[in-house]
Amino acid sequence: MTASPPHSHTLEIFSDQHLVRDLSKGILHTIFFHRYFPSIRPSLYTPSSSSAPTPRTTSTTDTTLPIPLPCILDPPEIAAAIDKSVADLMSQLTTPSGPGNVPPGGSRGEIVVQFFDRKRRKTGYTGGWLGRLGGGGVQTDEEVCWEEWCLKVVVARPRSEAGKLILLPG
Amino acid sequence: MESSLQKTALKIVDLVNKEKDHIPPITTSEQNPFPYRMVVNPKQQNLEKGFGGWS
Repeated sequence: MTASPPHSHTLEIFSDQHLVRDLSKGILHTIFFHRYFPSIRPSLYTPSSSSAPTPRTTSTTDTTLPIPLPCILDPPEIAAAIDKSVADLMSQLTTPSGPGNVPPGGSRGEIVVQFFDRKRRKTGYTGGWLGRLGGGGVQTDEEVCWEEWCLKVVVARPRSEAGKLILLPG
Repeated sequence: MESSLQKTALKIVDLVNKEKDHIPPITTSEQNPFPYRMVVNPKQQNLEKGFGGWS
């Protein structure tokens, strides 16, 4: 019996380098808020550039997008996993994989979130009288992916010498 | 950026509300019945590991 393919959804966000971290975190928290079913302690999260690791040189005003998103405070493992994935993404976005691989207008990254179901399966010979006796097989846990979210991130970088930010069309 | 974020957030809400039938029934009393996994740039990781993703 073959498992059906998981439901797959693709999301795209366009951002500048100062907001990409917060936007990615916000979107991932939103996904988990809707698809993580155990009890959680939620909160609201507003993406801003105030948490950017490098200070902006063009303006001292922090940018906050007026779109509150749900986020998960408890259990802390989810926020920790999201922070780690976003940190990995940021390090890969700022490190070009090779000459000519980074488009002139920006860089791209991707985070895939998969949700699995644990199914107990019996492997080995389970037919005939041996199977009816309950023996002849080994129980194993199989993880079957039932949903997958692919978050594609496009980061715009300044193109002009004046440092004016030009966003890719979205 | 604002419209991109809003559009993406609304798309998530729309999808999770429309597509629920495929969610498996919860048959276990474990704290989290549905394990999750997050992978960054999976295609690039597969290329680095080699054909088929086997190391």
